[in-house]
Amino acid sequence: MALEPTSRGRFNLEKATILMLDGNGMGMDILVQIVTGLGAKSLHRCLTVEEAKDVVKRNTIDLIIADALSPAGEGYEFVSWLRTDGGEPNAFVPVVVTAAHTPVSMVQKARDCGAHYIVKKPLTPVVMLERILWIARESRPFIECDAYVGPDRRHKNEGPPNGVPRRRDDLPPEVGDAQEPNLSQDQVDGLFSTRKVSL
Amino acid sequence: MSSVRIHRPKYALATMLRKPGGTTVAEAVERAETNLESLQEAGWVQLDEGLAAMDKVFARYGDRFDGDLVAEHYGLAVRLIGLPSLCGLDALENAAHSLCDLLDRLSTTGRWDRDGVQVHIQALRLLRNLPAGADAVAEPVLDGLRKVRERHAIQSSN
Repeated sequence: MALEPTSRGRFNLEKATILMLDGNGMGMDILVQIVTGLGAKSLHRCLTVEEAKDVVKRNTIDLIIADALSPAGEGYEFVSWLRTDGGEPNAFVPVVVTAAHTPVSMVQKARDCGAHYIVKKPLTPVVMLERILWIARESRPFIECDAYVGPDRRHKNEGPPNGVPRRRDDLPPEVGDAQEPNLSQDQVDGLFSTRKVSL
Repeated sequence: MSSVRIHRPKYALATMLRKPGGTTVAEAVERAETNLESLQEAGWVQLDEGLAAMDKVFARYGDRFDGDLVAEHYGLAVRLIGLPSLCGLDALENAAHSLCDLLDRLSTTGRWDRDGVQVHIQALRLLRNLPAGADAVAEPVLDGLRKVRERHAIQSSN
């Protein structure tokens, strides 16, 4: 569900240490203005992958926001390095990759680099915050194998892709009429209230 | 078969976000948007520099596909992304994405479409100079760019 920009819900980014990687000065400025607006205070600004690696080696990071960088996708390679050689605990840190445009040749690299999310530019505060909150809330399983290290990529259940028929044992997409009356509010409340049971 | 390790790392970030204090979503988003407004002036400058640089690249195009020049042009177009939105020019942002899609496709296929690129360059110029709220003018321009992409069977994410 999309984050409501007028929400009164509270969150606290003040203690988080955030590494930001963007080789474009204006891109970095935009990112800094967004994350400081969201309340972050401890920022590492890196213009190159080498700087970012150095920061990762010397500090414990709570969140990484890395641009894909050049069309060659150096930013994706940085995330791959982080997952395999970043050392604990940074190897597992939440990563949001930002990309102005993903060339067709880079799609697989983007998908397999090990980022939690790839956010398409232009960046907006509400989308960045939404992704950060999602990552923290969903606690996706982490997969480590020869071919991939990173959060489980199968985190959305969107049904079969277009053109792929449903499985024989899938329920039909149409929902029929209700066969029983709705639960009363008391019955609904009863499902949530704590009960003492004797074992 | 290689082994697979599946585990659930604990994110310190999740704990930090729940710490007392902090800010509301509404306050944070508003503050961040206000922060971004401070970059608008620089954004306009970079936007115009980027458009001028692309004009120069376009002037160097010939009648045949030039992979290096297309790659150079793509690099400039990618750097434009984000600037139009910063300046409140959503239609221009859309057109810049369209140009990136087209140049990427040309680069992949090795096919040359000078007219298609030129239409994009002209559209960028037109949309750059549109007054705020001129959506009725922008819409047919973006529709024209969509037709160019369709000619190349590009499914844009825009």
